[in-house]
Amino acid sequence: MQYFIIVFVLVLAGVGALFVLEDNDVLLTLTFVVVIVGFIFGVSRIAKEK
Amino acid sequence: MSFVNTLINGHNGGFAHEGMTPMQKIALRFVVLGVLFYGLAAIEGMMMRVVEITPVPAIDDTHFFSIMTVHPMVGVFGSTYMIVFGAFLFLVPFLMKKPIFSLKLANASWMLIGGGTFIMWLAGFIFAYSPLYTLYWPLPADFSQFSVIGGLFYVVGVALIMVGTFLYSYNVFKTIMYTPEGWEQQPSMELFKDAIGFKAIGNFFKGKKTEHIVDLPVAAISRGTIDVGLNAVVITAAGVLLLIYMGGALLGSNLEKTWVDALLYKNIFWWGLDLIADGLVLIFVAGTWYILAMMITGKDLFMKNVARAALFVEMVVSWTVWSHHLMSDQGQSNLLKVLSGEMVTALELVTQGLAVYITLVTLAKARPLKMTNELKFLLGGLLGFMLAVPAGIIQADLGMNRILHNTQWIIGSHVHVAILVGLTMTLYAAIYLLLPILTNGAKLYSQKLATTHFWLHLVGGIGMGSFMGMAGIDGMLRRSIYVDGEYNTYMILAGACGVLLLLAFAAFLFNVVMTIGVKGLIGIYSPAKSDTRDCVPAPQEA
Repeated sequence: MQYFIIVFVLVLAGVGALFVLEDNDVLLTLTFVVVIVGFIFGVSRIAKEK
Repeated sequence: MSFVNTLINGHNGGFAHEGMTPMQKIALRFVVLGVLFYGLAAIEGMMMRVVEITPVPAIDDTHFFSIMTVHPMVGVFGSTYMIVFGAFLFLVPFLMKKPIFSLKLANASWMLIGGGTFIMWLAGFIFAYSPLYTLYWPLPADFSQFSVIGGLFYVVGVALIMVGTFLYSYNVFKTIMYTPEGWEQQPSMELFKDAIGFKAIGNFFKGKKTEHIVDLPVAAISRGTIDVGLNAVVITAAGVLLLIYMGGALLGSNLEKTWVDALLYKNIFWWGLDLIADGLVLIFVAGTWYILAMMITGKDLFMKNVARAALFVEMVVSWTVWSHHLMSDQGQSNLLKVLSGEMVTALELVTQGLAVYITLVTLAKARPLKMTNELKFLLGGLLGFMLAVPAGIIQADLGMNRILHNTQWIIGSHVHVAILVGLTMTLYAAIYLLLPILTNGAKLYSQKLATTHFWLHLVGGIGMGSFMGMAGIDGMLRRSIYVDGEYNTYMILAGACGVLLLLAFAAFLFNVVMTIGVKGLIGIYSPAKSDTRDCVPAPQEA
């Protein structure tokens, strides 16, 4: 279940990034890093499920 | 046996779908729908090929661009995703000798992806929603050009596909990590780390030898599935964004003043979309080559540790190459163009080159080999990527991109050769290999038709991509209709090759239908009689 919640949060973060981010390569790259780390963290939560 | 009898009951009595396991049926449900969507994409492609040769009164400009909008979506999600997901949902438990986590989730996945593709297709067919699949901002939210209802159908269809995709990814990872009832407790976290590749990296820095607990093919599927998930996050985010503007339009508010930045949108959208093109496709294809090479030869993979490391590098590379799609955008920073667009992209020549080399050496070391259908199509798939990857590297050069960007070269020599020859022939190899396993030994109706399928598809695919590429080098843009026949020589030749592709598909479809029969095809979609979660029937049941 945590996997799907994390996916939902990442989708919202992606939409938010489009409104918040401006012309900044570093922030854009950081957004991608957050999505990658977040998604892999979400997958790792599957291993923790009972 | 008469023709009609074979058509209804299949070759040599077809196959007894009553004896199939639920897992076999689910895999075949994915594959059959995927093959049918491939046929739809092929017909759409041929309609566009004809318009590129001569105007067709029945296909006006709006209709043409509607087809162009849904054609790649039907091909990628309706066909490729379906065939790949069906094969992998079967192969992960099959290779791990472990029951799948959830049959219900697997069934939900094919229904959602199949249904979603159909609804998304309706957006083009009925409502002429045609902002092209790249959805460059603000085109998809420009409701002065396109209808809101059409956009709504499109977004709902894509949303269903993405939900099905998330269910697939969850099911795959859960199957790898969970402990089935009655089993000894599985080391879930260790399985996760080994599947993704973190364990090997950790051990590399600690100077320890890595003992792998997840086989290479399953590791390949896991790493490709990470890119599947990341892509789905981005596509879903684009869908939510569109819904915001559709909601505004339906409520009578003009949200034009709040439109997001087009270049920022293009960066994020292409980062996600490229995870299909340069991520999961290359990783899944390499993984499928390894599975096929091992199953065809019955031998272990050559340089398997290098192959495993290359798959991890490919995954990381796929996260950082998106900027090669923005090389001709004036606003894009030069740093991203050079670093991500040129330098990291060039690494794909190394990772994919290694995959080709490892597969070929594995096959060569096992000679003499019988030239079976799966081996023929595997070699065709390898050839496809040997042509399409260098074509991609050529266009990911700041100088060459000035000439090739947005021309028929991109979509012909690179995309269609990669998808039709590289990817599709690899998938056909998997289908020919898995057919007897999934049908409990059904015998192919005609070897001559299978050989015809191979040659027509190979020549048609390479030919069509090449003639489109030649037109591109001469300046023919993609997504454009030339009404004065400026590129007719190339377009007629590309069209002729398109006909070969259609004939190849007809030969394949006819061969499969005659092999398993109409009754067998319908039987695939009826509930399974056994409630086992095993992949294939136990020996006494078979």
